[in-house]
Amino acid sequence: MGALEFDEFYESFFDRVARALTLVGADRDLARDATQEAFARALRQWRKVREMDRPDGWVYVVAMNQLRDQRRRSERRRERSPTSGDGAVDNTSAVATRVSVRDAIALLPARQRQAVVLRYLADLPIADIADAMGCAAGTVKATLHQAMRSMRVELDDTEADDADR
Amino acid sequence: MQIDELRSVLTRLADEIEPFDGDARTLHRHERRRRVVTSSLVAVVIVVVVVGASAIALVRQRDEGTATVTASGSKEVSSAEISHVDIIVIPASPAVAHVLDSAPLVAHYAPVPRAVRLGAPLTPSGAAFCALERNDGFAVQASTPGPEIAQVLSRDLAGRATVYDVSDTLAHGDIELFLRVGASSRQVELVRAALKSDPAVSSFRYLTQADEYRIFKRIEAGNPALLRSVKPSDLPASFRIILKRGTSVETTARRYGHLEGVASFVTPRATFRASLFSPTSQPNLSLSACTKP
Repeated sequence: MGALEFDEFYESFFDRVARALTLVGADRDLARDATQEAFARALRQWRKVREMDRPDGWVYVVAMNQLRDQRRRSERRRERSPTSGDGAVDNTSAVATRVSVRDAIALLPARQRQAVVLRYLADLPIADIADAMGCAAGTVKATLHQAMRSMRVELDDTEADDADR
Repeated sequence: MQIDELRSVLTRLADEIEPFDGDARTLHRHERRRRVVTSSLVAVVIVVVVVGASAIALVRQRDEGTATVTASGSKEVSSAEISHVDIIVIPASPAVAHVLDSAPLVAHYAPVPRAVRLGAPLTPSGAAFCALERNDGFAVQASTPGPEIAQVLSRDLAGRATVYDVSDTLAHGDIELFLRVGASSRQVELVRAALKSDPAVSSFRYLTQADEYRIFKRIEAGNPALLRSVKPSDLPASFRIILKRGTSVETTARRYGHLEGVASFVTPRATFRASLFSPTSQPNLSLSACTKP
């Protein structure tokens, strides 16, 4: 099983993955649980995961999917509650009260935010992000581009080509 | 802002988050226990289908295009009294206000403060948002829908102010419902049927992937590399939905957001309105794409 090797991997990436999940809007408990579940799955399939080019990429993808599933479950719970508060599927209708990059990221719809964090924080290739988001690579590129436009980030042709990797 | 700056900001934001303490030993212990449990029990999975019926909340109704204009009365109102914005006039000045007050096609107008706004629609509203980074403006609601008001005011205000037709924001509807890429025709038809029978829906329009690609091509005309790498089949089809007055946009959007085959939704009019009337007060030029260094 290579427990020691897995433990090193876990120690190196647990905190990073959980922080990335927090950046895409998860609260701490949700981020911790989703990350722990992703690592649990990695442990079950460690012989396969360890051979991947980016084992951490695999964990990011699983953790993001886990987060998405948990959010859907909590959304459904909130739907059943007549006193439900905020927590839209995305928060594009949120009001910009202060300009900062943090706000710019927070204002992105959930899928755009997820794509931005996976691409520019976790540094995952487009194909892995497409797996995480359950869509085609072209859709990821379009999503990233929309996010860049919303955040007023200059995305030149070089980056668009680079996104092919 | 450049990509490298975004990367470093993301890293900094991630670093600011309180560290997470992972515990590999606990994980190993749980996994061992799980294996024991799963090997000794037969799991029975029960799927519960919950059909949620969401109540439609009625909100305060607002006057729409029914203002009666008197010769001496000002049509300036607060932003809350503007039900939709057809055009934006920049800059705001007493002379411009006088023209708006005396124009029969103007129902109301509300002041719009100068600021940098995030998440601005791309075109043509984007041009107005850029101009609003330098000057205050007026958001104008027409008394009669149509392109005439922009033409008439452009003529009447020539040399004093610029008129931006932002009625394109209305075309996106109250809710834009994006389907999953690869959603089946059965799923599309289920959404369509739900919309047809929904008393809260005034009208809706289905945009195919080909329609979305045409829009994408128009917006990204200046980015050939991106256009080369994105195909129509990469983009989600969508429904643009207009709701009846008094219907809660957010509640209705959430209801449809949970349907099978639906990936996400946005609320373009609400977003536009929030962005226009509730902006930042501190322009930050590093985020502006309007003024190139």
